[in-house]
Amino acid sequence: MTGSPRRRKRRRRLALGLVLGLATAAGLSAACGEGYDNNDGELAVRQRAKEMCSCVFVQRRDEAYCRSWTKVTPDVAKPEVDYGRKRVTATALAFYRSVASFHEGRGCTIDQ
Amino acid sequence: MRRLVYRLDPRTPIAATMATAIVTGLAPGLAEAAPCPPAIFWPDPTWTERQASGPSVEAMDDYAFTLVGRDDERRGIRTDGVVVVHRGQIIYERYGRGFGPDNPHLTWSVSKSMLDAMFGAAVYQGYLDPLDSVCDHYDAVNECAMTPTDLRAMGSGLDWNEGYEDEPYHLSSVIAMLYGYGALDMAAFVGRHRSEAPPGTLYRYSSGDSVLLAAVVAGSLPPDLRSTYPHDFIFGPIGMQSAIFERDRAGTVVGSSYAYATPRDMARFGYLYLHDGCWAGERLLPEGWVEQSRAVNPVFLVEASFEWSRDGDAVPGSHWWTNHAIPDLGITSVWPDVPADAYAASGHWGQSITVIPSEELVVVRTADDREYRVLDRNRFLSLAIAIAQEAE
Repeated sequence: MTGSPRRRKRRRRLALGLVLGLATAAGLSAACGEGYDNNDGELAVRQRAKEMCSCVFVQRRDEAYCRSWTKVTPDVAKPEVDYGRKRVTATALAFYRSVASFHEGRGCTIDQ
Repeated sequence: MRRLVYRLDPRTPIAATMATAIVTGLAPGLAEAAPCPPAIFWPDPTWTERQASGPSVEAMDDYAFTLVGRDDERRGIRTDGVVVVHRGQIIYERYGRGFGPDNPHLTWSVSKSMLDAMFGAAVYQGYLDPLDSVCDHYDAVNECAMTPTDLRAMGSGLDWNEGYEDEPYHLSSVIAMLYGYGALDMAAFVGRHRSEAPPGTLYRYSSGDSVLLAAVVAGSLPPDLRSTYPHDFIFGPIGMQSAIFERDRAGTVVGSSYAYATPRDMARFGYLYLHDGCWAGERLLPEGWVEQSRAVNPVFLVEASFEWSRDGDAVPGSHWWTNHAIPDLGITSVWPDVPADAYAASGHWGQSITVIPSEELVVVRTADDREYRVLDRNRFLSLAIAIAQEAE
């Protein structure tokens, strides 16, 4: 890596801005009625994490039932329940990961 | 289906006058609230039971609770719970597939009807006017001509595709909202959509309109109420102790989809509507609110909105569904053997709360029906009515 710390910081900011800009552009184009540029892997892990979390911690069903109930085709997202922290992490294809956490009185929310 | 015969623009002077009258009637302090209808029984603290027995009970058991195939095949009628309340008492209650009376159940779009009550309570308590601009209460939206009433009627006019499993994922707005781009801040995602038609002129069933309405309702409230209003307004007063309305990461209630409650508590919600938005003598919803919820959706009658209705769809009310027939449009009652005054909250995979005022009946069903409309609701509700008659 070259350049002063200030330059590196500026580059990082530029890179971050570019990423955010692209993300915003993608989001805006998504709102134009020509379909959504969703990432299938991201959809899969978010669906599995959120619904698994709610099934276990809100509906109070056992894990085996919830694994079956939240299963979609293709079954790529693998959920892992953390009972201590009351959250579910779902991963897929080594690249995709989502976490949903339970909060008393508010149920489960997708954190990422 | 016949061609359009109604052409009512809700922004015409007649419609505006009607809306003004409605708002005047709804606004607290401007008109004296109507007395609450009496009830023989209130479920306080719990429902009383008068379980029926007889051939209709057996027929309901057989129809609703007979599973076919292996569970992982997800075929046939897959009922998780049924509660039938007649004149304030439980006359039929059954559970299946491992569920019991203490398991809150995902209600999917029954949540929309619960949101309708939250909106009504906020109006009744004077936090917002149904004809405010949405931008008065929520600013992450492109179209400020929309009103909360437009959203309640699913008449935002926003370009929205409500497909689920039957659509390619990249075309589904609701999948994008729940799990895709929109998942972390759903209302902002909805608000970014372009307008397809002016507000109040095009009916489209839209989970986006519901989520946006939830954000507008929350935005009208003092900050300390925003995180608790579902319980403060409705769930607490009517004793829905099991109820949870989940939120997205931005804190917006997912008013389209993510309310959970036990079937017994869902019956409490139906019982609130059966009694015109009153609970144990206390009015929670404005006078006339329930009438609007179960009347034919006014935007549905504008231009050709109704032509988007699919065969077998009920006529929409406002965040509820109705059993109305509209003969001029060739639309018949969706549940022909059930009284015409029936109306229902309905959700994905077979969730429902049906209110039948003329029979003093509330019928709740939770389920996991993965086959579309596998349950014949006309038959199911007819059995519930027969059980009530046997319990007389």
